[in-house]
Amino acid sequence: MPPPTVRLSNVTKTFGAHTAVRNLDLEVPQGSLYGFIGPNGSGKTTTIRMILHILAPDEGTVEVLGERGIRAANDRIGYLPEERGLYKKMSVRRLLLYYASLKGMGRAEALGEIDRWLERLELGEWRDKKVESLSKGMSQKIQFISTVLSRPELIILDEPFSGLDPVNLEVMRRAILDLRSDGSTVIFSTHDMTVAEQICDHVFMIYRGDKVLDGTLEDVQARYGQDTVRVRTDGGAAVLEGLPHVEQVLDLGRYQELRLTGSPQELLMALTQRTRVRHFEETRPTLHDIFIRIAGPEAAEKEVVA
Amino acid sequence: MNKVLAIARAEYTQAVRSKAFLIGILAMPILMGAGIAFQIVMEDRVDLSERRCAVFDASGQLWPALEAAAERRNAEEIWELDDNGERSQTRPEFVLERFVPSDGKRADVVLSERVRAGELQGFVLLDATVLDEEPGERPFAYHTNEPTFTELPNWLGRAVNDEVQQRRLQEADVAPEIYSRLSRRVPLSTWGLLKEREDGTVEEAEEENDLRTFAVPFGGLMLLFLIVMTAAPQLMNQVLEEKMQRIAEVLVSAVSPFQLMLGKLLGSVCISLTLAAIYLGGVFWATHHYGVSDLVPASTYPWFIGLMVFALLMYGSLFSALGSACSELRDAQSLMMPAMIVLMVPMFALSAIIESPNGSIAVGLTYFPTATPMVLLLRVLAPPGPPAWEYIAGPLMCLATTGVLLWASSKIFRIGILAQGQTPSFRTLLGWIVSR
Repeated sequence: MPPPTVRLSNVTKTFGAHTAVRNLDLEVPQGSLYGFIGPNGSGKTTTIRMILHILAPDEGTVEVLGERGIRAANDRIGYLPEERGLYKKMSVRRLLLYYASLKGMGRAEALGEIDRWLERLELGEWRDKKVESLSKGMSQKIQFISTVLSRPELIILDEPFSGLDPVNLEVMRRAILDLRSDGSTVIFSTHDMTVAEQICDHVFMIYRGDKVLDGTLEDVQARYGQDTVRVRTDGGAAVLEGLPHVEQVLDLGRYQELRLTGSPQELLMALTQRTRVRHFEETRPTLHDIFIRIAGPEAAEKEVVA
Repeated sequence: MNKVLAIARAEYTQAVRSKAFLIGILAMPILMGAGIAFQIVMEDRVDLSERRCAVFDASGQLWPALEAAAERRNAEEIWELDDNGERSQTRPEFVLERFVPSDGKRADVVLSERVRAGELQGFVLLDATVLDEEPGERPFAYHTNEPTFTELPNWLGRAVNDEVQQRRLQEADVAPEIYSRLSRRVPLSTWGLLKEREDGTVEEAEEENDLRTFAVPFGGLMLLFLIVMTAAPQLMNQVLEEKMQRIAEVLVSAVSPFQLMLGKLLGSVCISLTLAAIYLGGVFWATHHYGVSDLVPASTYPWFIGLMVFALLMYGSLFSALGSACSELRDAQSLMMPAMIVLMVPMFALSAIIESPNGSIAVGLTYFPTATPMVLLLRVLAPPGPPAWEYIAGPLMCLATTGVLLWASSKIFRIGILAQGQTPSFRTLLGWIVSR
């Protein structure tokens, strides 16, 4: 089995009195598409910055691509931060050439890659235009190209889809999956758990600096997934109060999701005695549901606000 | 190092390709040239309107002589013949009127009102004791509400004193011609030093001129000051802009904050070197073209370049650190103020240093860390130049200060470039410097 691309061992990082990451152990397998999820301010970006050696941990060790040295592996990492900008007055090609030079790429090699990526993301006609003339979606694609241009072994994408229209989102999603297929390891950070669920094969959830979830998506959902049913009844959410073996009710409007402590069959029987049941389905919980179970409904509200 | 050079190259090419750079290069000589041309033009543009002045002669003896002197001046001294042989007025006419008090009011009060009303430029009070050997407290006074116009009181001073002197000479029975001959002053000229060559011949001294003594050191310092003032705040703005536009985080994922800061500094130094090469090249050409190359000796050019590089590294690192610590331009400008005051220290002491280039103020300021490049340049340009040991101690001081500032700035930059929110206090910045 190949060594993990990223290995964090007992890592802690504090800022003054605030502990951003506490005793974190994490291994990101080679070739995986790993989702870092959690609400804003939970410690995702701090973890990423430690992986990039932008920040040093107060305790513990960070090993990336087999290197522990400061920034030793940075030329092999592509990073797309959440808050990102571009030099507006530069032409697209000059800008990408500059970023490639910072990653140690030669000019000829970089020019070839730039042209290939611009064509692939349908930006070939814009290569000599100034960045300020690009639309927001185009700018995001340029930022993505600057991240992957040097064919990094590890790609870290922080909220790569935010603000993208569905067409561009699909283009980017395909590109990310292709990069993973080509052998790159992708860390995908987002607070949008639906997106993470669609694209990631592994998930790592951090909340208030603590790791609360880590594993393959299937394992995580299986761990939390045997006890949830989705129902639609004529009585709506009001008739669900006081049902036996129901630990929690999540009202989704047309549907309600119920977390059970007993058998779904017993619930169905109790429910049919109260109202007409239109829909009854055993489901696997979404990452959002799992997050609420772990962090509580207050955290979910905060997440929505954020 | 390749990444530092890549950043420096990008900074340089981006700057020199911009229109702003070209405009900046042209703007300084154009503005300076326009300023000089304006002064030359304005020198010949004199306000020729008549200036009236009242004279209250309490001694009763000086008025006739003053009146005659004014008539003589207005008839002879304020005219020039132009190329066509026609007379044209070059200075304003002074019209004196004798004031005789009539209604018992104080003469100075009445005349002050007339000055305020715009009837007079000013008035003169000549005390009754003006001709005495021991005159009163204020024997000769000129009153005005426009003290900046000095031509009239200067002329009045000369006219009254000439007359008083004449009378004293008459009393002492000394002929004016004899007095003139006896009091003739011996002209003083200022020269440099002579030097005996190895073959026994003597290298003669050269006469000092104000251009070499004052204008060259002043001009050199101003050029250095302008270059640093252009480059350092610009660097601060760039760093702040990259931080505000969230470009910085992309960059520090590829290079370390120190590499980023150093690359930007080197880029800025290269831009300034280009500027300096253009301006100094212009000075070199002009001084050789007009045969005055000894005004700016060749040895001073490398000193200018070397000290400019030190100044840029010092102030550039400091200003880029301040830019990295802020999240808004307004905050950066407030933090910049103390740094600007430090930058201006040599300007405050400019005249004291030129007057005594090896005096205690000049030597003391040379070793005030952040002032070293500018003060040392001033002293190198102002004759006789600093003693030999200072040509070594000065650069060493620059080197030490640059090292300390680069180290401290890189510590601030490292944290500041990714920090968001409230602008840190100076205490917090100090905390960043000493943090591990």
